[in-house]
Amino acid sequence: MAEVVGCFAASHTPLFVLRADRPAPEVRAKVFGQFERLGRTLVERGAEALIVLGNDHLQAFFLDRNPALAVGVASRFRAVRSEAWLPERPGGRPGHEALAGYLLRALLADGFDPTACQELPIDHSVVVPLYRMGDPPIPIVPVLQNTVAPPLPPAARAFELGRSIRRALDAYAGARRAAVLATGGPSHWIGTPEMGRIDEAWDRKVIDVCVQGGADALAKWTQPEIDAGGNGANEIRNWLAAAAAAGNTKADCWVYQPEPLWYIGATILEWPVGPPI
Amino acid sequence: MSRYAINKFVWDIQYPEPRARYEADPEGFLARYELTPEEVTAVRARGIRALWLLGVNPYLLRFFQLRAGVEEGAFHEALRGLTYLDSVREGGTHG
Repeated sequence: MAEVVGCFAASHTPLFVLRADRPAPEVRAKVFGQFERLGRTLVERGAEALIVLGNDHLQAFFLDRNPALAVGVASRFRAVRSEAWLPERPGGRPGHEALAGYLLRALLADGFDPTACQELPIDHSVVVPLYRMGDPPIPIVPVLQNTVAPPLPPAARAFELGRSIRRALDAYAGARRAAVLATGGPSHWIGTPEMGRIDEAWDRKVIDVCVQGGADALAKWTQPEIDAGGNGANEIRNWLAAAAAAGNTKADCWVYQPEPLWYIGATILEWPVGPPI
Repeated sequence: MSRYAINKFVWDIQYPEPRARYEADPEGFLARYELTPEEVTAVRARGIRALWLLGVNPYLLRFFQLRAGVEEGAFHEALRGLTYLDSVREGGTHG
């Protein structure tokens, strides 16, 4: 059964690509260095599949048909056309179609209602972290939650999703080792009057809750508590799923680097993998 | 939930072909969206504030801003005095 070899969260701002060179060299080295370390770590630990817990920003999906939860079941994933600046790979990025199909069935059996996407253009929430990680050659399964168009699923649902993903991986015979990467967060405001603001206090509070092993408590935050971190803060749903998949352990913060030019406190967290919860 | 038609217009013109058709014939293109006169005015004027108050999803507003070439400073100026929290409160423009 698939051993879960790592559960992580990493910020995914487009500005990691579009303004890659603008911050000071030491900031770039620090943040991108940790992304590269993350890519190497996944390879060193022998991950054969990577579940990417991201969120579409009205690129692949629109308000006409917007899933609360979507799973990409395909052997290749191409970048969304509307983010033409995304670094594409020849033929797209490889998908672990077998794990995706299995995960879809497992989630349905476990009481979730994922939208099955046999073709799923991936936006910056998936591509930017993978790119900054050096695009490790590990097939992905995109699992996308709605974090951008209200009404949103409650945060507690994301925690339950992570538990379910872990149960599914523990029972999966089709890979020896798998990893989980949540993307996005922490506080940020995009397309709002506050765009560019970084709320360090909010960020440090959320990161500290994760470091203390309190993601289950974070999952009970109300929507107004999340809203205080901006519309981008809704992406902590991705973090909650990763934390729950790891067994709600105490996270290590690899980096927290507020960078005004990137509109984000760049964050990478790792939850050591413990027993399932 | 936000006003669908104006969001759809903003989403559609992310793509080169609809955008080209819009730029070639703005009135004709906009006529297909069943927008109110207020919404048409906001679009033609690249009115960031008006679009915000009309309930355009913030991520779509960001795309619109970038494609319309509105600088960050002008974007903030246009939204001065408004807040995200107000917009997502009960009855707000983006709830």
